[in-house]
Amino acid sequence: MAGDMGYKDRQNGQNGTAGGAGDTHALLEVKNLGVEYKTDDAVVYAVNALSLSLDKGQTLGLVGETGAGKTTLALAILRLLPKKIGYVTGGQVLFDGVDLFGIKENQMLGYRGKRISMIFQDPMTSLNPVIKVGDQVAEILELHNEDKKLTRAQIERRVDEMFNLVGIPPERKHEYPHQFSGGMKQRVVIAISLACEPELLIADEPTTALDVTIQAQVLAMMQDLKSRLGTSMIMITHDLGVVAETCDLVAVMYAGEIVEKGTVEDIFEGGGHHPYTEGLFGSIPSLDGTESRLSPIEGLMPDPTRKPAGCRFAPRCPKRRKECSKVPPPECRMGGGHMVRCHLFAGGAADGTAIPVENPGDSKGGR
Amino acid sequence: MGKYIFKRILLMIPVILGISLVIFSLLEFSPGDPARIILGPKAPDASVEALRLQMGLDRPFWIRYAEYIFNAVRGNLGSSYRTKLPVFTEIMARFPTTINLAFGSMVVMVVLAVPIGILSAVKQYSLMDNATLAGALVLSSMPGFWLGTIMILFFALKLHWLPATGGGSFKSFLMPWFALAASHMATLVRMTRSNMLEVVRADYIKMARAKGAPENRVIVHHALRNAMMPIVTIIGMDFAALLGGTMITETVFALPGMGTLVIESVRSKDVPMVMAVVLFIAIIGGFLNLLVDVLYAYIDPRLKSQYMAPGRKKRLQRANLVH
Amino acid sequence: MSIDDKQTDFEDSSQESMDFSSVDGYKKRSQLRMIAARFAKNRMAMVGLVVLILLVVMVVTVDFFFDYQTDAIKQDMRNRLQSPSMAHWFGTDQYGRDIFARIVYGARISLVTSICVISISTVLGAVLGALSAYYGGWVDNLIMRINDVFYALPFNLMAICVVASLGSGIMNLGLACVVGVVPGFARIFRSAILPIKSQEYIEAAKACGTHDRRILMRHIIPNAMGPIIVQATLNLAITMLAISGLSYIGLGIESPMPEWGVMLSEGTTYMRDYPFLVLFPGFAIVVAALALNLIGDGMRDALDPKLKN
Repeated sequence: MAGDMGYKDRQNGQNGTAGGAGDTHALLEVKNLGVEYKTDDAVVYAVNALSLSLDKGQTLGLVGETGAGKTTLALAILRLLPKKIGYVTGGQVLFDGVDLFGIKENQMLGYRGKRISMIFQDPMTSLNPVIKVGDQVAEILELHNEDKKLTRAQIERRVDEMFNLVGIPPERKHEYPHQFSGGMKQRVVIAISLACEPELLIADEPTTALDVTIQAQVLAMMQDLKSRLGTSMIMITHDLGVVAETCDLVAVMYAGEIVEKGTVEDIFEGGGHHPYTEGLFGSIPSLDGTESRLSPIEGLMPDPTRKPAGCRFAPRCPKRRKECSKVPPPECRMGGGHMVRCHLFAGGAADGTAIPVENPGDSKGGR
Repeated sequence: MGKYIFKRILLMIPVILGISLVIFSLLEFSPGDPARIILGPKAPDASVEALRLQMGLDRPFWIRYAEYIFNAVRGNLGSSYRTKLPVFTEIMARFPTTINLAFGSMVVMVVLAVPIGILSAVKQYSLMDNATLAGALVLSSMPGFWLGTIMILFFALKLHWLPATGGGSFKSFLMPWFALAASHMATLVRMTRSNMLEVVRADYIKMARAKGAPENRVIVHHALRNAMMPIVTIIGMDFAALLGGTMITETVFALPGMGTLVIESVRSKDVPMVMAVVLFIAIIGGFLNLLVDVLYAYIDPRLKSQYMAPGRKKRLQRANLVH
Repeated sequence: MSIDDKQTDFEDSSQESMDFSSVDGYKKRSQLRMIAARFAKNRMAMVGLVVLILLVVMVVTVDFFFDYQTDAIKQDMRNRLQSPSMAHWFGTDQYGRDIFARIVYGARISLVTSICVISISTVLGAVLGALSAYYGGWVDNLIMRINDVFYALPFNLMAICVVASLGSGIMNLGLACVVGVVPGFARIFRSAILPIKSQEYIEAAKACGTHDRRILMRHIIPNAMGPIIVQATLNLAITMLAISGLSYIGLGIESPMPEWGVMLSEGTTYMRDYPFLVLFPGFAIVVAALALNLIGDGMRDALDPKLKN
């Protein structure tokens, strides 16, 4: 992945798990993560051998269709997969060098909300309807106030501060969620998730449920807060416009895998893309373009209960070759941090399974 | 809020009138002549006829119904054909047993069913959860009178722990409470469980977990109150049903309550008595439902602000005027 | 990062063709068959179904083994209160009648009565609910306000008054139960139909000039069938319990008839010494009600998987 951009010098968390161990490792490193959902009827392979890493202060855009496993990835990082249904089947999540799957649940509580926060998809339902919004913001501060450093008054002051920060008059903290509009609710949610100044913020489609005008406001606010607090962010979205505007890095997910990742410039400008990424871009209208029709990607996501032998995108791929449906595609370096998982760039290696995946030397440029 | 309550009480009136009309006509068309029933089968026809005239039974149905309602509204519910005592006295004598039975079984039901339902949901798919579901299923398939009979057989006749028939002591009410509560308990357990499961899946619960709240705090602080709101309604409706459903339990345990009173009265075509008991139960049921709705409005901030809105608006307007 | 080696073990050609075909759409299956498949997968529901089928078989074939008049009705005081034996599987009652025979004949009464009650109530409830929901306005108001009156009365109280005015007996008991069940059904069906009414396909049908009756019968009721069927099956057990309860307190089916509630109430006098008199009829009620409840739950889960848990 791209060079170290950890410019931020943030204060260390009070819970002393390997905080501030220098910038030798990325803030978040997901290695080979696999997640399955097991129901009575079937096993759903939601995330498959997924790896990514994120440095301090960076924003990673995670794009892909609904059902690609983006939310599952986020929940897995927080260890919040639905109990008895969602299972991590392999891999590691290293946060600040600590393997989150290796620590105890009560240690994990110290990470959730405090060091890693999450904004859920729908602000309308993310707030508890019977608790005052101010108390919901205060709760996260109280939860991470084990050593009683903050007094009640200080917490209240911090709540007011957060309300001001997200642009809600603090007087309204005594109101209930139903008295707020959708955009206001999302601001409250953002206030909650940023109250403890987390090092990593996972925003799961934070704006899709909002009106377009409010979307821009909320995004701008998030950007502003992020740069002010130096928070790293994973922005889950299927809106490429949002990605272009807010992200440093982009990972394109398809059927539980990352099919292409790189910097925003790699994905939006340079050549050499995964056919799925090209499809995604073909699905948005451009104002200056001359095309009369959009070119959507034909077909549907593959049945997630089956593991295909070859590339998961093969059935829909316009550039499908013979080997695509038989052999899993390799990860191909395209220069810098740009990676594409596709046979098109594999240099003709189509026989067998033993394709060098970890470090394939061939980075054949674009076509 | 006061306006709302008043409106609800007004809305209850037609329902109560309708019920009285239905029961009055049902009893009207039932076979048997009240005068004959009062005087007994051996009385001479002449005196029966005289009594009929005296009671006004020769007048048309509507006149007698209107008269009944007119008297009832003024608090005169008439006298029992059977005992000749004022209906009200008789009901008041029987009411404590029934309310004791209904209230006691409601307490048993809530105390047992709600925690079990919550635990079952929290530990979904566990052994305890499965056992709870199976138990609830069996309980809901078991008629209360059989459960009562079996309990009498074992706890009273075989083990001599509890008295077989009732009235009076706390001990004598234990079995009736449970027998009456059983089937309602089964539904309440299931409802609590499914409500809780639904709430636990809500986004704000995920959010609470993502905040770093420990699991028991998530359940107690975030899930419970949301899950309990519909449960309150069910409990209120159940209480009304329990009050009106005591007749079988009272028969099994030979309790002198309103249930047995209504059975005796129906058998002897004691019109004033049946009417009074039915109306009494219906009115209490109506008020219980109202109480539940008011309570609900207080628990749920969404409803509260709805009811409070006019008052609040006025206050705000006043504040604006002052400025 | 590689995909596990395991994956390449998959047989590829079939996998491949499957993958490509699935793009064009999944195989179409009739809704009814899907529901039946879901129901069949539910083990508890199948247990209920098997028990119910056994009961029905017993009820249908009982006349080959017993004679209604001599075995279930006629008193035989010499053989009274015999404990269970090979000759009398469940023993005999205080009048010397075979309890097993009476229980099987009782099953006939309970099943037939409750099925009839529920069928009639379902039709009435569906019609009232549909009219009320579809037309709204004063029709809705009229039907629902009258419905409220009946709904406000506890079931037992209502049924007792009906039986008192019409006299006891199966028909009147059945009628009493219908009066008790319909208000709840009408309410539930109305609220099941209301959301359907505002669906686009109903508007589309109206826009095409379809008659009200056709919209009701062809579009609305079939789409509301799910909750209607679920309510009907779940209420079968409740009705059965109510019938035996009313008979138990002497306001339903009356004494010589082998009704389970009647048998139980008669047996209580002797239960201290002959507990089987109350145990067997009770078990019969529980088994039958349990079977119906299991089927009802299975139906609910099969018709609306979202409702599960």
